[in-house]
Amino acid sequence: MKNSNKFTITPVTPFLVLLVFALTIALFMRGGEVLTALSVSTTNSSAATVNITNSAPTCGAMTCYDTDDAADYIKPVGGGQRYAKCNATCNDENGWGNIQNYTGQMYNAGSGNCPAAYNTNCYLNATCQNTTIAGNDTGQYVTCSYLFWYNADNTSQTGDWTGRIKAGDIPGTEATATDTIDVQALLAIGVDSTLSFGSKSAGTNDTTLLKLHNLYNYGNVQMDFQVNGSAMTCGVGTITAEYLKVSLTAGDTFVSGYPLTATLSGPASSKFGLYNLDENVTTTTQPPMAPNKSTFWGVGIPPARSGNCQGTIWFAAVLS
Amino acid sequence: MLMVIAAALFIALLLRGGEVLTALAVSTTNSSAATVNITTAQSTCEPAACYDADDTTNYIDLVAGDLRYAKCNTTCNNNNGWGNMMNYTGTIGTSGSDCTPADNRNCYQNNTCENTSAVNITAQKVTCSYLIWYNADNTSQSGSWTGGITAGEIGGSVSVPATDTIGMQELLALGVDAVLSFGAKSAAVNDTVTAQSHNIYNYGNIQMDFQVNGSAMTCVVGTIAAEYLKASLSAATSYSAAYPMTASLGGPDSGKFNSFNLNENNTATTQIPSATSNPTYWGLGVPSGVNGNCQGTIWFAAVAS
Repeated sequence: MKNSNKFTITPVTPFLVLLVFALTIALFMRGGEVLTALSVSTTNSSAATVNITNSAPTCGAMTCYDTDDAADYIKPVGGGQRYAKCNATCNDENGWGNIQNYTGQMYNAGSGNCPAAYNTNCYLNATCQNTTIAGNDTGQYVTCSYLFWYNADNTSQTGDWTGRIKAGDIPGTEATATDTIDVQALLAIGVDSTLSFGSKSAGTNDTTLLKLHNLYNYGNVQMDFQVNGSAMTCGVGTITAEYLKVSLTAGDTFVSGYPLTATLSGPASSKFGLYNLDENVTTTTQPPMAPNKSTFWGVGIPPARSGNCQGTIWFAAVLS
Repeated sequence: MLMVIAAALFIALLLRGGEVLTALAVSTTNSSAATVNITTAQSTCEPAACYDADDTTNYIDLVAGDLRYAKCNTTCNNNNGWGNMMNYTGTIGTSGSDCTPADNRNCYQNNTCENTSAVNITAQKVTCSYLIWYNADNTSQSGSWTGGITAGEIGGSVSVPATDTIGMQELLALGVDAVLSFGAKSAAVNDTVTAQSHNIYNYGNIQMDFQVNGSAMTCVVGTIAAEYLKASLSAATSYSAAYPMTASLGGPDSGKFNSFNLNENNTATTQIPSATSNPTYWGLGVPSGVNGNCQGTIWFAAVAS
């Protein structure tokens, strides 16, 4: 009879022990793998994931306008600056916070996309203002402001400038909105404040016109000018306007000089049609210097006048 | 010299005399052989006791997607001595005390049950152990399984099985794909249909439906509310018609997909059972104002069909 409880050590026993041990480890490892892979119970969960890709920003219709009179043209100020703005609403479906920056530029179409700021052709704004819109988490209201110098180009493209806003998001994609706006022609003249003839003797006239008096173009178009003047009031007596004479050429005789009149009689009256003083067309970011040209003056002193005399000369810029 | 010869003759005489004694069987005292033929006794086993080995209850508490340890004990006796019992075999299953063939679903066999200790010179305690897979049948016999143990003798006869019944509990267990990834999406764009497949697995032993809810997805910028996640049992359901997640389940039928009807693995095999699965289909809406990677959680709960 076989006793099933009897355990006999045979030569193969060590091998069997090792085999059982190895199988036990293998089973244990398989069991562990099953548990890890299944991870189940009556309730379970999955991670829901999505990667929201970058949406390119968009900018809606843009409006550029003259800030002072809210007109759709820019009206430069003689010798000064004029405030202009461009507005747009830019949107990013990833949230307006995804728009990293707004930049703006205004340029005349002739110069295209301006690479650098110039007073004549290109204005840049690297820090346009963005303001949130209540209840809108994707759109922002953007305003780019510019101070236009008086010499902003009016001649290229008949005064049409382009305003542009770029909205750049964090990954670097951009949206652009544009509008065109006219820069008006500006005739603006400046003059030396005083035309002083110094001391003169009564009853003598200048023989030639040598007294220099500069006119300045504070506009953005080439200009001529018209001139008239008042009588000069002296300590004793007056000197009528026609004793003041002007020429564009130094050394012209007093006789050939143009005598002022107290009033202008018509459009061409006292018009110096060959003056042709250009506007400042220098491309610079510095405040523009007004170009100037000389005029040359003489005065005649009738007898019976004495003392200090003073009158007024009026200059009017006219298109060349 | 004579002494030597005499001794030799005496020894020879003794040797011969022994032979004569054996052959003649005569002596002053003698004996007879008494013989009997002990017939082989039929082994018997006491009624078995089957139980869940982990919590010693009389029902088997299956483990989701895994194995559960069950045992049946008895004491077997052979009046010829317990050594006359050569081996003990056991089965546990839905079809009586000696199910065959073995499979994970309905029948487990153990051909090498342990004889754990001797009760006396004729009886031994016997234990048959089984590792029961999660998909063990709960539906047949109202979830009642029968464990049987037989003792096999050297002569080849087998005892009448000792049996016990034990409950096989139903198990609702659900597994899901770890990640439901929608890939890359654009903000302010909704899926048009539910096209993203996501599998649900039955790691239990009964047919199941499921309930589902979800959290908002947190993005690098912004969040996507739970209702933008939508599920359907059909591929290409329009996004608008799909079921939107809610942050919490509103009641027993909230988020319940009654017609999911995912059967348990009822394949009779000895291989490790694979969990059955059915797909669900998902769509995602992405509101405006969100950006970057987003992550949320979807919770699934198994419910009986």
